[in-house]
Amino acid sequence: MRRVRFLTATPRFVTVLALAAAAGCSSPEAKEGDDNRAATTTLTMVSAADADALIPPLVSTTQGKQVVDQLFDRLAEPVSPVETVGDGGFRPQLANGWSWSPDSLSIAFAINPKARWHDGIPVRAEDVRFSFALHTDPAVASPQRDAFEGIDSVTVRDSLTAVVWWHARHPEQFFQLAYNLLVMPEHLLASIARDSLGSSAFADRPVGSGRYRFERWARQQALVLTADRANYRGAPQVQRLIWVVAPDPAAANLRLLAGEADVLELVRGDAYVQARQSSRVRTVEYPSLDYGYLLFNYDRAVSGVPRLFADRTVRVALTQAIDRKAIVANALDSLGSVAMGPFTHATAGADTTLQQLAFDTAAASQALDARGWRRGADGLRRKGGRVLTFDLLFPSTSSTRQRMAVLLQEQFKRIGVTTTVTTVEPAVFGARLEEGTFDAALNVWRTDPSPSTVRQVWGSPRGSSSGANIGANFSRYRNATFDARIDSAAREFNPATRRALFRRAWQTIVDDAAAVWLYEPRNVAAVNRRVTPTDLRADAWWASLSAWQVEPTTPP
Amino acid sequence: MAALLTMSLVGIGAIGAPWLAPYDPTAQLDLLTLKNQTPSWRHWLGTDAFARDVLSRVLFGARTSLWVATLSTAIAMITGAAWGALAASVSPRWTHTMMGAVDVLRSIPRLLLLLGAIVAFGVMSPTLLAVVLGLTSWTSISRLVFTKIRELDTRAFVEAARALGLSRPVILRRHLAPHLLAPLGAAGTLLLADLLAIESGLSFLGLGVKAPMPSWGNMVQDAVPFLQSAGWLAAIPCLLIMATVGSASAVATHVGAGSHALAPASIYS
Amino acid sequence: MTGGWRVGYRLGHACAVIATTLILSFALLHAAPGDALAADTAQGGRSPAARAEIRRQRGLDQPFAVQLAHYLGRIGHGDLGRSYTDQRSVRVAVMEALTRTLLLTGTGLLGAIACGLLVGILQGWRSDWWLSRALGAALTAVYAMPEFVLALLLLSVLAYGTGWFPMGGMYDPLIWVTGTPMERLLDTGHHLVVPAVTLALGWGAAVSRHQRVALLETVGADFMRTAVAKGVSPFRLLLRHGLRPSLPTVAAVIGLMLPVLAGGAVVVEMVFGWPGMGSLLVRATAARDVPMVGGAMVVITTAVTLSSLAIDLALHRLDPRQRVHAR
Repeated sequence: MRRVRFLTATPRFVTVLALAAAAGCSSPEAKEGDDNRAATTTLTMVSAADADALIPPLVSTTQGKQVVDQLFDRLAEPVSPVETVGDGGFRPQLANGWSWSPDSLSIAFAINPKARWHDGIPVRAEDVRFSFALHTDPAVASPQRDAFEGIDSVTVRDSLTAVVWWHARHPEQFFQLAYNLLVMPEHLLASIARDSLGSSAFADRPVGSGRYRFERWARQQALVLTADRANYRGAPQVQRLIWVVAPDPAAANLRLLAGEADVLELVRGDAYVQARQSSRVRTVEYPSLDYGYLLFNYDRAVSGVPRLFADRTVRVALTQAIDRKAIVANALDSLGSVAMGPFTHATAGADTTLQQLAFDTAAASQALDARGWRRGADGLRRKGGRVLTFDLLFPSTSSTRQRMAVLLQEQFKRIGVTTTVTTVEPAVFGARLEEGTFDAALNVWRTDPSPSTVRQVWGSPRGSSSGANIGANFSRYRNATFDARIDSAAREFNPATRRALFRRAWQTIVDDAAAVWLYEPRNVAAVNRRVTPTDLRADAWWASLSAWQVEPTTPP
Repeated sequence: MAALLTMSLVGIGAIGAPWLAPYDPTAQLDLLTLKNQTPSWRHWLGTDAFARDVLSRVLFGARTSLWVATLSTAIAMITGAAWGALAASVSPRWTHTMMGAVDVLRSIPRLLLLLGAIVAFGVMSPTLLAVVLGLTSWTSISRLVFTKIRELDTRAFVEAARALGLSRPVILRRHLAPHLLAPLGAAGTLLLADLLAIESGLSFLGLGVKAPMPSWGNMVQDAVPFLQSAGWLAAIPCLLIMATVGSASAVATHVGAGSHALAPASIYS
Repeated sequence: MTGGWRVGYRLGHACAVIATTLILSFALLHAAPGDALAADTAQGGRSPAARAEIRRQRGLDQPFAVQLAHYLGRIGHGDLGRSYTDQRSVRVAVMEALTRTLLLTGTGLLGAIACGLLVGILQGWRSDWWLSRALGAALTAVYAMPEFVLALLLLSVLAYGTGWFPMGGMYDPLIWVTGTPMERLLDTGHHLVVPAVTLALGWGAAVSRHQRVALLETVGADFMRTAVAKGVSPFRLLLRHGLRPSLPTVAAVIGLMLPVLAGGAVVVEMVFGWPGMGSLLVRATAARDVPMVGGAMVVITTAVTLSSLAIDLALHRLDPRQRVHAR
């Protein structure tokens, strides 16, 4: 029987392969030709998720914030590092000047007369008033709504002067307004029903006054902004800003290393090592405002003891049982340090000299013994026949916290405390924190530049401990001394006194072992070598994207 | 054959894990110095990122992964065979309803059911995971059994048995069952292979066996951030998965040549 | 069964599937702890008052039966609603994702069929040739590999290693914005190659398994040997008599893979950043975005049942043997 030759039996397959190869071969030239033809500079950022919305009061993801901060302007922009007291830490943006009233209850902002919306209409004070109304409207239900608490209203003195009124003066008035309010065009948004902003035409094609204008958005794929050549603050050097979405971190890293993307905002582990070794990419560090902590549920009955964690001795023992340095070194290598308290190095007035609880397993054992939890023959601690055990909860999306949980479990085991580790989805995690159906949880909190917002997280709930009142105080922690100290620090105008008062407040909460302050990650971004970032702020590394310098790609 | 040998080795490893493993699979031996160690005399397969012995984790991981795969296969086979046999034995109207229900269930993407089960139950132990997987995989088995029994029903020996007055359950058990063994065996082995592969794939989506309990799937997933610095951490469980799934698949195809109804199972369908 | 009755039955079946899936997904999401707003609670998010307001607006404080009734009623009118996460029209988002998914899974399936046919034919024709055995083993190995490992492997080797293909995504944003339609088409094709190859290799084994079985029966048959002895070219023989019986098998395989075709290959989509139905479903479920999940399920099950019907009818016509064994 004649043999059938391999290739002739599959002409179809070969044709398909050839077509694919042809498509593959033609495109690299097309890509480089593009750069040649357009002779423009682009900056491509790769992130794991897409922006959720492009209208400022609706944004809750960081990707959305990154884009919105380029499209829209604030009245004044913060200078790095962010100074939250008074107006010294800000420079003019949409407003080219402002004046305080004698009683400091109002500030009049003079809008830059050259400021224009991307559709050419000039920016007026009515837009400021409208933007404030939109941000604070309950029908819009903006996540930033509470940040404006204390501001009474915004009035229009003339078309270029907007006056903002407060109920009472406090040190962070200017910060509160200038930092949170992004100005939007009234003439395009006023006619849209407040509860359907997200489905309006404006949501698909936003118009702002920023140095970048909206070009195109393909959801979950790419978002392109193009430079506003006629901008009142001058055209930016980088012609296009592009955000691409790569859900898998390994794939995102490969895109960066191959040169398809220019910026990856966070690299850890192997990705960090590869970035340092690469000739195309380099690492850039920027300060962090996040801290990871183990929080206890104070109101929960654990191991048969009602409100076990409300007992300070137990908390101190659990804190002292953990070798935090070793855990952080294992989980984060050199990319993290032990957290000092409910703040980070980048928080204004951060104090690294606070007295911390030392790693001391002997003391921890003794303390637990003193409370009646004695070790049995099997190494487990019991009191009245019940084993000391609790559950550690964390969301499945965080690999760092997963590592922490496993490490903590082992450390607790060494002093005879059994823990179970439970991992749930983020939605479930949030729900359980709110409801209080957890024993202990691993959470990461992103602090504000202003240290006084720690009140939201660690200040005693007003009223009962139900989900409606606790805000972000998932621990249900109550400490009147801490409340009083934070309040007096927040009200203080003098910077030196303010720092001392905050230090005192933080020392209180650290001494009280309110939670186990675990880690403060070091943020390292990896950028292409042809990119020169400027001014990476801890709270918003993207804030000055429009000022970054990028060398155009050289064609071969 | 090589495939059978591989499978028996894996089986022995899985069952004998508590005795064979040199260390406790969840013990973190020395966090700082023993992290990501290459294979050595003390640790034959090295240590992982939490300073746990990889060999022990592999053995216990075999246990978990095989437990999930075997239990889910068993559930799928029993449910599927029972349903199929029942559907082939009742009145035509009920048959239509039952097999219609099978069609409906078959069309629902497994991924949705898995996601739904995860969100509804929250945390899933390996046993619960196996139950969910089993309950979403029985439809192809039931179709196989149903078609086969229908075919066999037209044969002479079944008619003879009916003429003799034997009841349906007896006919099923004594006369039809032996003919089903071969195709069911092949289908079962194939399903085992597929479910093992699915279990490892679930870890990628965060839906599989949760830490610190080792399973081959979550060992691979945990090792992905360290592919460059500690490649063997991912390679070893991956190769083991491939070997086991591949040999099960080979055994099944060899035994069941001629069974058209062996549907490929995956995470999605 | 006559043709009309068959079609009627299948349409009824389709409605049953869609309704069941809808109710099931709604119930599961409702039973799940946490809702759309809980996902960002741990990081701050909205104040409790704002959350309560949004919940009231969406009717989430109503009893389950009421919510289900409202929901089914809206779907019945064709209104798939708006997403809870970004208030976009669900219909627009889902149709967009569906076209992207079909592009990817369709191409992947074509590749899988080609690949599987090739290997299957080889194994059936020359089962003891070293090449057919090697290819068969390689395909099984690829099939046995966890999907994300295969995807990452191909991404690193085929895309990153050679530099011929992009690292993911559907297109280059710059070409998308500034290129001509032809350039955009070629660019999308260029981006399609590696993810489609991943799918093709992964599914090829299943196809070849079916193919081999079907072919074994015909290739070994007497009539084939007679034809060859008479001098008919083996190639023509293969095409005419070997492949024709394979068509039902291929159609059957396609039928079995329909949920994947429409529902998206999640793992490949996520690794390669191809924004299709699979990743849409996973994201929407994690965010408890009930309208989105429901809308996606409606579209997927409709697509699956309609194409399943089409394939059944095609099978009926393609394979004369089937006509004899009526249902």
